[in-house]
Amino acid sequence: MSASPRTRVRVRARHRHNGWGYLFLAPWLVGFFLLVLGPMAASLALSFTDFNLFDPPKWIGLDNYRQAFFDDERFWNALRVTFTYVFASVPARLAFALAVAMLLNRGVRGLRVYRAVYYLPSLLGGSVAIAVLWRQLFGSDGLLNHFLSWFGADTGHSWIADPDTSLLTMIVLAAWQFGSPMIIFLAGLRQIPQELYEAAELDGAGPIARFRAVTLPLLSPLIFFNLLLQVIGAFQAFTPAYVVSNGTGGPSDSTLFYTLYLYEEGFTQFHMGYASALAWVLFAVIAVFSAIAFLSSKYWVHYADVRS
Amino acid sequence: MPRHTRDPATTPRPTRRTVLGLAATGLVAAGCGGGGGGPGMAASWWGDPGLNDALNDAVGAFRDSGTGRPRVRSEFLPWDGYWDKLATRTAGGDTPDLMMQAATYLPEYVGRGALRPLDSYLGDALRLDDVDASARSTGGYRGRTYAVVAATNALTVIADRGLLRGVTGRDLPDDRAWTWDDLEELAGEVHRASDGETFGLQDGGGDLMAFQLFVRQRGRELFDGDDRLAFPVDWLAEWLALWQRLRESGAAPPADMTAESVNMLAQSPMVRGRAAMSFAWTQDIGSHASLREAEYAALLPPGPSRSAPGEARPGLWINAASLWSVAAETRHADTAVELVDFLVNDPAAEELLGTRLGTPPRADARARAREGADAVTRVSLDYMDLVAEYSTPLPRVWPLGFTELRSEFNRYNQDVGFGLRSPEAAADAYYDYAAGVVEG
Repeated sequence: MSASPRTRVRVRARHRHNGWGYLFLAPWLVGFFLLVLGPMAASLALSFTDFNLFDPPKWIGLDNYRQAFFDDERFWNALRVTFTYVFASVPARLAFALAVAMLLNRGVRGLRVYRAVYYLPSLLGGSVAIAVLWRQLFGSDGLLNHFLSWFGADTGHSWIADPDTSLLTMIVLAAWQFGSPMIIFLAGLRQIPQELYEAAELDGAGPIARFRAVTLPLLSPLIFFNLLLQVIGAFQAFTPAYVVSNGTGGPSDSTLFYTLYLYEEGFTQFHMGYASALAWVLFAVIAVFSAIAFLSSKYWVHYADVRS
Repeated sequence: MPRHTRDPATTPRPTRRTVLGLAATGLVAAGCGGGGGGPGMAASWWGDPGLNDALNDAVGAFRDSGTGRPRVRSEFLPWDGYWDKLATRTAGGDTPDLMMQAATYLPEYVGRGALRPLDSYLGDALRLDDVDASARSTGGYRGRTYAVVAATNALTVIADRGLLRGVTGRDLPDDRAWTWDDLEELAGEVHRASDGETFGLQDGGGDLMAFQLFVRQRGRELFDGDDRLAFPVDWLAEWLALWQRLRESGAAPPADMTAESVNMLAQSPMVRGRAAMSFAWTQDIGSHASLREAEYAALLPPGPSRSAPGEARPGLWINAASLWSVAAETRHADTAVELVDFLVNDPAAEELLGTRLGTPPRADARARAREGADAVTRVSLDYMDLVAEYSTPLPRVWPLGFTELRSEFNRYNQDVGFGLRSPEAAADAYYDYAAGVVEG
């Protein structure tokens, strides 16, 4: 080796430099490898086994997946419930978020207060308290029934405990928590140059045309971002169903969200191998939907810096 | 080394090295914190804070009564959380040295090798001579003893006597002679006489234990000795149809009202004053009384109707409400066994615990408990005496997987209640499912 001592020192110094960088990254790296990547790899391996938490896992190949797809009514039901939830709650939430953001963007006085107030439900969103509140609102003695009784309607019906309406109450709950996409939309709306609206107005565009021709296209990157985030989040919804149905996914499995079923299989019935397989199926489902969103995005998402 | 007195103003600021060192130590410490171990003995049980205090006092009395006894780190959780946590702890090799067990979970924990056989201690360090003969075997599984009964209970029909009398003008039924037909009629009468305001009986169709009673009354059991289902599937269809009839006539509340209060006693129709009777365990009388004041009575469940098939016999059994077990891998086996013996036999423990755990499994303890008991406790103590007379001992403990069967049973009753399945279809589906779990 003919490198001069000087270079060697410099190289070593740079390595030492990197070392410090890794050291500062360590908390995140340790968390990532120990708490994310490791368990993920383990769960993939476990998904091919029969594992009850206590006895050593037994390799059974694809049996878990076979059972889920061909021999498990509740798996299909959980998928049906979850898909219904995702496809109803995400558009509802985004529409609400956009509508409220547009209202707030019209220069209302006390914007900060409104913004905070509308954001509040999202802060409490995943919390047990809100789910408990939902029981109070939609239970047989709940506020909704009291409200309906002013109009002479029948009041004994429990909205959360009737399989026909229980999922609907969860969707309403989700739509109500529109705070975080709203904040993002609001930020996006403020980025849209006012001149574009003025130009559109000069061209004779009414409010609806302005919304379709200016707001939507310019907001589309944020709509895409929100859509992706919300779809991924909605597929993994757990707390509301767990608390509102008392951990059962009931009545009659009408709120058996996929993650709730997974939890029940894994931690109540101790079918840990099966639960791992369920988790990977969900992973695949989310991956497919994310891929669809990305692939379709070039047809409807307009980035300001890209000319189409 | 000479000691320096430091002037705060000139105290050197911590170097990067010390900060990083501290951070690393913190990480290592955090990594160690999760595991169990530690000095002393770990004990865990389920129950409410009152029971927890009493048990901790009893454990304290145990430590004071001998020398060199280790510190006991106790933990208590409500029933549901208890089993989630115990399962994870057991899986992680951190089973508490002493734990409260339930007969229904015993097969699972014995199967996992988590419990220590106690046979070698019996009669010596662990005395069960005073324990009721009917309750002594409740901790046995496949020929060995893995747990010792802490308290007993039994199924009952709780009745709100004031409500029943106020609505129908009738007093309690003669529970030594009544049948399911009588129950159906009385419950329907409550609904009619109250103009639909009150229901006669809470929906018990989703309770596998109540169905077990129904099966046992006809001379059969849920499972035979080889873990096979031992009752005809039409009995299950008949059971589900019976409850559907009760719901349709208003004798029992509609399915949504029942579904709303799953796992929530405070929301139940009976606690809300909208139902007059309910299937329950004896200890639930106390829970009801603490939520709503009323004159509660404990009735023997109705017997089989005259037209019922099978050979009639009392369907009730004296059940272990809770048991004590010792972990298989414990460093404190002898002490843990001594503690179990103390909790079951010692007068000091008896005084501290009273009837908080349930009915004491010893006749002498029951007699003493009755003396100072309040009205509610007396109802359950008297009832347990009655059960001793009107019961048939269980021939075996539950099979592996029973806890799963029990939690699923409710869903099939719900399906019938919401009109998603006919009683026959639900019975067939459950039968197949259950056979797959216990026989498969």
